[in-house]
Amino acid sequence: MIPVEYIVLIVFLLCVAFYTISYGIWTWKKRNRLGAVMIFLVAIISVILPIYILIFREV
Amino acid sequence: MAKGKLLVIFLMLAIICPVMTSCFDAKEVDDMGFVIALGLDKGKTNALRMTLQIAKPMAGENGGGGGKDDLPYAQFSVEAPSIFSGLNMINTSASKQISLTHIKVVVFSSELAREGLGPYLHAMVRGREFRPNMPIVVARNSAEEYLESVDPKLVVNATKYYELVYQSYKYTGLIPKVEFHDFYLSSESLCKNPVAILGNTAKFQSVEEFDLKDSTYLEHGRSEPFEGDFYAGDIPALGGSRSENIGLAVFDGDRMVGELDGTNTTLHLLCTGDFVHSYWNIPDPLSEGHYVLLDIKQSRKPRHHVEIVEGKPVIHLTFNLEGDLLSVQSTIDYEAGDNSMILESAVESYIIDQLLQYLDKTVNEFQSDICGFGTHARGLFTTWAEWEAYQWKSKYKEATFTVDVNFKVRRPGLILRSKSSVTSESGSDTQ
Amino acid sequence: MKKKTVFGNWEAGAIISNLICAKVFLDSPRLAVETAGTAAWMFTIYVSILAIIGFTVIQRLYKPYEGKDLMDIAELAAGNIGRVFVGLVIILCLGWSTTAYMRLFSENMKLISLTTSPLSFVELFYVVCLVVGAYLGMEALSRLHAFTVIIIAAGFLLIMLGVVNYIDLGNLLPILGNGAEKIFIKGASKVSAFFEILVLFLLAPFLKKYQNFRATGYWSLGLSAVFLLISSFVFSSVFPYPSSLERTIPIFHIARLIKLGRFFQRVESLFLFIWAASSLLYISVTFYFILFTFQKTFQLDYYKPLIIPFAIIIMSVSFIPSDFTEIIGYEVNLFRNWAWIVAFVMPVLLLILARLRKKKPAR
Repeated sequence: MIPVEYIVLIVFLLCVAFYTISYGIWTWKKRNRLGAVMIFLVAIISVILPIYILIFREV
Repeated sequence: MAKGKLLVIFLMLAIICPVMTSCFDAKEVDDMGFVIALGLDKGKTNALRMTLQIAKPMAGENGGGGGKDDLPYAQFSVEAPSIFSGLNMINTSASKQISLTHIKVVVFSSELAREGLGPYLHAMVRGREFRPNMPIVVARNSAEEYLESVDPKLVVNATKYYELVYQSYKYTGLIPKVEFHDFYLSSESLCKNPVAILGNTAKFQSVEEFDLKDSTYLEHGRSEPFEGDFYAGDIPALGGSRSENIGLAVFDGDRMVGELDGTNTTLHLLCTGDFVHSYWNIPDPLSEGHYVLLDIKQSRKPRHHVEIVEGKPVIHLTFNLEGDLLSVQSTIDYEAGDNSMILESAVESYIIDQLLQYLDKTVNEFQSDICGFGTHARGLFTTWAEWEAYQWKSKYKEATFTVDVNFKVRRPGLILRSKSSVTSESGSDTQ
Repeated sequence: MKKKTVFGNWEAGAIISNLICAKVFLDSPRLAVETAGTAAWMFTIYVSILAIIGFTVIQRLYKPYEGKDLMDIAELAAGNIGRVFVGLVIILCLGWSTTAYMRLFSENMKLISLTTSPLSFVELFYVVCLVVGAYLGMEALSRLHAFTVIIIAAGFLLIMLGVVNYIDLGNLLPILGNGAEKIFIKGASKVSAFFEILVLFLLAPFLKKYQNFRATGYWSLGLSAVFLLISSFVFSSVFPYPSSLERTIPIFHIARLIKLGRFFQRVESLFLFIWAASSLLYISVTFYFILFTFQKTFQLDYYKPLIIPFAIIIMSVSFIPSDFTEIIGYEVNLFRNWAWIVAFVMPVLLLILARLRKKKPAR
C-alpha cells in the first residue's frame, strides 16, 4: 500500500512534468527541436528519478 | 492584480505558520537534564559503572542549609556496557532527557585507566555533545566515590565549581593543565604521551588521623613534607570539599602507567611551559634547617633543544624563572648584595636537581614522554615516514638530559631588608 | 536572449571567491592534510600557484573574446556540436558540485545540529534557496554576495583568531610531510580545488570588459588562495598529523575549541551561521549556472520553467549515494582528481581551437 505522502508527491511531480512538457511543446513549435527534446528529457527524469529514489532507495 | 497580491501574501502566511510550530530537533531547555560531571568505573555486573551528576537548576535559590538534598546536582549511577547505553538506562528513570552538552569534567577510575581508555576516548571525540575543553581526572579510588565527595562549599553553582577547581594549576602548580582535546591528541601522537589530573577522596576524617606514611617527602630527600609531597587523598587537611586534586596520572598512549605527586607535577608544568606561578620552599643556603619561601613565576617559556646522538635522544632544557621573596625564616639579608646571588644560585641548583629527578622518573620508571619533547624532535626529520620510522616513544627511554635554570629574584616583597626580632635575651633569633 | 545584467568586479569576485572557498567549511583542510601531511600549508600554496598559472594562460588567450562565455567560444571553435558538448560537460560538472555540496552540507548540518531531522527535511531548505535564487536571477545573487561574503570572511577570520592559543607550529614538522613526490607530483591534480574558476568563464558576459574579467580572476584566485592557506595552516597546526585525518568538519572542530575566559565559549554556533550562508550562496550560484548553461546550450528562450524540474533532479541525485562516506569518496577520489581538466584544460583547448578557426561570433 503506497503511503498518502507518496501519492501527493507523485501528483506534484506529474504537475511539474506537465508544465515542463508544455514548455517543451512550445519550444518544439518554435522549431528548436533539440531544445525541446532536452526539455522532454528533463521532464521525464524529474518524474522517474524521484520515484525511483522514493521506492527503491527508501529515503 | 491587487487580489492576486493579497492571495500570494495569504498563501505565504499560511505556509509559514506550520514552520512556527518548530521542527524535529526542537528541545526545551527546561526539559533537558544537563550532566555536569561524568564518572566511569569498572562495573560489577557490566563493563562500566557510570556516575552522572545532573545539574538542578533551581538548587541553591533559597540558600544552602547543608545536607545532600541541598546540593546543586543529583547523582545517578548505572552499570552499562557503554556510555550511551548508560544514558539510555538513566533516561528510563530520569524525568528529563539527559544531555551531555554541558559536561565540565570526565572522571575515570585508575582501575579503568590502567586497562586503557581508548574505547571511551573515541566515543567522546565522535560524540558532538562532549566538549574538547573539559578536563580529564583519574580517581585513585573510584570515580563514583570521588564525585560523591565533591561538595562545593564556596560556590553555589556546581558548574562554576568544576570550571574553577581545575584551573588551580595557575596558582598552585600542583595539578597539570589538562583538556580532553590535548589528552586525546597526545594518546594518538607519536611524540608525546598524555597526563590526567589525579583525584581522590580525602582519607582523613579528623585531625587526630593525620599521618605522613603515604607522603613522598622521603623520596625527595626531605626531613619534612612540602605541600606537593602528597598524592591526591593523602593531604593532611580538613574542611571544604572532601575531594582532593593533586598530582598527575601518567599515561602511555591510552593506558595509565603511573602516578606523580604534586611536587613532580610542578616540575612537569615547568617542562611543558604551562607553569604560571606558585610558592616554593627552598632550603636556606646559609642556614640549615630553615627555608626561604619564594613566589616563583615563569618569566619565559622554557627552551627545548633536542639532538639525536648515535640514535639516542639528547635533550637540552633551559628555564627562565623569576621570583619574589615571600619569607626568609633565618632573617638573613638575601634582598641585595652577594647574598642575593647566593640565594639565586641555590635556587637554580635546587630546581635543576629536582628537575633531573623528575625527568629520570619519566625515562626510567614510566618510559613515557609526558612533557612532549618529541614535538621538538620532529624538526630533525624531513618527512613523516622518517619520523615515524624513528619511533620516538620507544627511543625515549634512552634519553639523556642537560638542564639549565636561570633564576632571578625580582622583588623582596614589602620588606627591603631582613632583620631579626629582638627579645629580652639579646642575640635570640625568632621569626 | 539579450543580457542586460551587468555587475562589477567586486560582485563577481565575491561570487568566485565564495565558490572556491566554500569547501573550507567542508573538508578541504583535511584533504590538504591527507595529501601532504604536515606540509598541508605548502601544498595549498603550490596548488594556488598552479591555479594562478593556469588562469594566466587562459586569460591571455581570452583577450579577443571579450564579453563571450565558454559556450560562445565553443561554438566558435566547433560549431553547434562544440557548444552542446561543452554545455553538457559544464552542466554535468556543476550539477555534480551542486548535488554533492548540497548533500554534504545537509549531512554535516545533521551531524552538528539537526540530528533527529530527516535528511530530506534539511535538504528542503537548501532546495527552497536554490529555487528562490534562480527565480531572482544573477543580479540579485551578485548583490547578495557583495555584502554577505564580507561577513562570512570576517566570521571565518574571527574563528581562526580564536584558536591562536592552540596553534603549535611544531605540528607543521617534519617540513616535507608526506614527501615531495606526494605533494608536488601526485598533489598537482588537486588544483581541482579551484575548479569553480570555471564559473568566471560563464560570468564573462556579465562583466563585459576583458580588464574586468582579468582583474576579477586574479583577485578571486588570490583571495581564495589566502583563505585556503589560512584554513589549512591553522588546522594542521592545531590538530597534529595524523589525528587531523580523523576530523569530519575541520573548521567546526576548530570553532569548538575556542574558549576565552568563562563566558566566551561555544563559538561553533557562530560558525553555523556563516557556514550555512556560504553553502546556500554556493549552491544558489551553481544551480543558476546549470540553468543558464542549459538555456544557452540548447538555445532556449527562458530558463525559469526549468527551475523546479532541475531542483527536483538535483535533490533526487543527492540522495543516490547511500551514506556520507560514499559521497566523500566520489568527491575526493573522482571529482577532485579530474575536475582540473574541465576547469583549465578544456578552456585552453577551446580558446586555441577558436583562434585557429576564426568563426563568426555566436548569436
